[in-house]
Parts: sequence; structure tokens; C-alpha cells
Amino acid sequence: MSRLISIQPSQQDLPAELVVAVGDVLQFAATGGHLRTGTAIELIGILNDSVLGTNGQVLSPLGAPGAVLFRAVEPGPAVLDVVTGDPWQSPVTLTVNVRVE
Amino acid sequence: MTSNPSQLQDALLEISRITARFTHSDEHPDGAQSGDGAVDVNAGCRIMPLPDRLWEKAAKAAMRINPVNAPLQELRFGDTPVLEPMRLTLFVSKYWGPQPKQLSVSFMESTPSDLRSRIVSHLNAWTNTAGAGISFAETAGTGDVRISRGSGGYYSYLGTDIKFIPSNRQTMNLQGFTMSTPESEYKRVIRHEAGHTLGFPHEHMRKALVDRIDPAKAYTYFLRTQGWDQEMVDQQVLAPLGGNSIIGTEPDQDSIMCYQLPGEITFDGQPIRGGLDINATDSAFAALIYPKVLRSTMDNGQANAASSRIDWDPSEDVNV
Ligand SMILES: [Zn+2]
Repeated sequence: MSRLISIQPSQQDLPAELVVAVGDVLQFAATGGHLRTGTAIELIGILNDSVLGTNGQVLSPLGAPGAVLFRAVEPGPAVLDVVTGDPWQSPVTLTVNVRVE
Repeated sequence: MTSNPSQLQDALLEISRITARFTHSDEHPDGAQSGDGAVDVNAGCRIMPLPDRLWEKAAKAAMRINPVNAPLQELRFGDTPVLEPMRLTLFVSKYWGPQPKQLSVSFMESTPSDLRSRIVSHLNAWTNTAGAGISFAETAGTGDVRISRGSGGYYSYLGTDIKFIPSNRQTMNLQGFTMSTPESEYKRVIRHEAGHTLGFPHEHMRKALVDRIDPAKAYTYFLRTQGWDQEMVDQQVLAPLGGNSIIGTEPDQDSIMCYQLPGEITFDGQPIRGGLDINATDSAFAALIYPKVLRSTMDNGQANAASSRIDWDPSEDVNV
């Protein structure tokens, strides 16, 4: 079974190499990100972290995006950049080394 | 209906003056102090809200009488305002209304009391500095405003939308705020997010400021720094606010609700400065739309009465 792997890069240390399986989806709490190298991972999207309100409508906060999703598509290495912090003042870019098995 | 720009501006200023008198209710309008025999501004009179079904109709009628009555619709002085009633209805759905109000505040994570107090004090800058008639108070229970300091950056839902956020979710995110966060960040970030909770959108989305940004430069810059595609850049910085904005002042790059944007993305190479604290224009506007007019009534223990509604059978509605 594929996994949704939730990662909060500003609150937890990231391993030197993150090992995942084909089909896994990585969800970073982040404002931005992109694939630096490799074809084992693809960027699904950079999304506004929204909720289903009690009024039945999807509600989005005002602010930068809060979720960055990647999917492991084939075995091999990849390097991701994930951006956290305030995108208007002091963005912090973290580099994540991933190996897809 | 008048479209004379100076008449509109004069009328707006007059509203500000009238509101200012009532927000300093220990003084008479002419500046004299209260004394024996003076009219008691704390007595009786209160504004009764209409039943919801009549708001749109009432707004339309008020606008017909005087366009300045358009409730908090963006006032444009350079051209004739085009005001759509449905937009007013949408707008009203985010605005807390003119009655003085206190929003309760709770924290999603275990948070030291000094930090809780400091955060709430900055939410209340809109009340204490700007003189708005809406305030924030910490509760031990589940607050109207629920603050997380976890991942996700800085954000808040807009105005009354916070009422519809599931109670186990935060309505405001203040990633990483601690007692060692600089005071300047408390002012810049927390007061900005509190502004969203009051219903204020982003000032840098005003058309006059958006027009200063070179889209090609912005797409390149945010793709490089954030990985954002063009649609995201459009949404975050290039799509000007529509007619349902609640902002009523001239576009203001020093507003606390304006992000700082780099000169690298503007046509003229000059940055959009962005606000570092609630400024005079923010203060005046907040005090105007959230007046303290009913504060004295609330303080007299009539809060429930002030918020209650008198209604009648719809067949008795008057056509206007
Ligand atoms: Zn904002």
C-alpha cells in the first residue's frame, strides 16, 4: 500500500537520505518547492492548505501556500528543494535527498 | 445619485468625524467635557439590525440615496462606482458588523502564559492603537480565534469565515513564534494576521499596486525562489482585488496589510515597501468600520439586547 508521508521540515530534523517506495506521496508543510535533480520523484503541486468549513464550503486562508506534494514514480535518487518560512521576507530553502526503492 | 469625487470624499470625511466623536464618548462632540445635565450618550439608543433577507434590499436603497452609503464597498473617487448588490451581500458575509465585539482566543499547542499574553496583546493592537471596537480575549476553552505556532507559515482565514472552520483546526497560523521572536515581527506579522481576522484583505492586491509589478519579472522571481507556477503567482501577487473588497482607503503601500515586494519584480525597480505596523490610514479605517459607538451600551450589560434581532412577518416588509 502506498503511503502519504507528512513532513514538517521546520519542526523536525530531516534524515541525510529519505528512503521511500514507488507510489508514496510526500507532503511537506512548506510554501514552495521544486525538483532539483532526478526523475524518481515528481512534483504534484504547491497548494493552499484549505479546509471544508462547517458551512459546507471549502475555505482557504489568506497567506502563502502551505502544502507541497511530491510523488515517488520510479526507483532511483532525487534531490528536492523545499521552501519554508515567510516567502516575502526570509524564505528558507532546505535540500532533501531522496532514494526511491 | 452623485458621482462628484469631491462630494464623495467630503462625505467620507464627515463619516470619519462623526464616528470619531462617538469613539471618544467621554467627550462632547464640541470637545467640552461631560457634566451635570449633559446628554447621556450611554442611555438607550441602539441600532437594530435588519433581518438578513432585507440587507441586500436596504443596501440597494441606501446606495440610491447616496453612494457613500455603499457599506464598505471600495470607494473610487476617480470614476463612477459600479456597485453590484450581490457583491455587497458577499462582502457582508466576511465583515463582523458595526456592533462592538470581543473574539475569544485559544491556542492549539501548549503555550506558556507570557507568550499567550504577548500574542493576544498584539492582536489587540487594532483595538488599543487603532481604536477599533472589536477586541480579542484569551479563553481557556475553544476560542473563536484558534492559533497554532506549527508548520504552515503565517496565515489567517478572512473575517467571519473563521466561524466555519472546524473547531479542531486553527484559524490563524504563526509558525515558530516564541518569546525570543523580535518585537518587530510581532508587529509586522501578528497585527497583519489579526487584520485578516477582522476581514481586511491584502493591500498589495490593490490594482494601483499590482499595476507596478512586471508580470514577466514576477513569474521568473517566484519560480526561482519558491517554485511557484504562473497561476500561483497570479493568485498571490498579480490578481487585483475585485469589487467585493472591504478596503475603502486609497491604495497604501505602507499599510500593515501590504506585503513587502522586491524591486526586482516592479517595472520601475522600486520595491513595494510593505507595512511594518498598523499605520495612521489603517487605524482610521479600522475605527471607521468597527466603531466603538455601542461600547457604552455593551458595558452597561446590555450586550445580549444589542445583538438580538427584532423581526416581523415577511409579508409586512415595505417596498423601497
Ligand atoms: Zn496576509
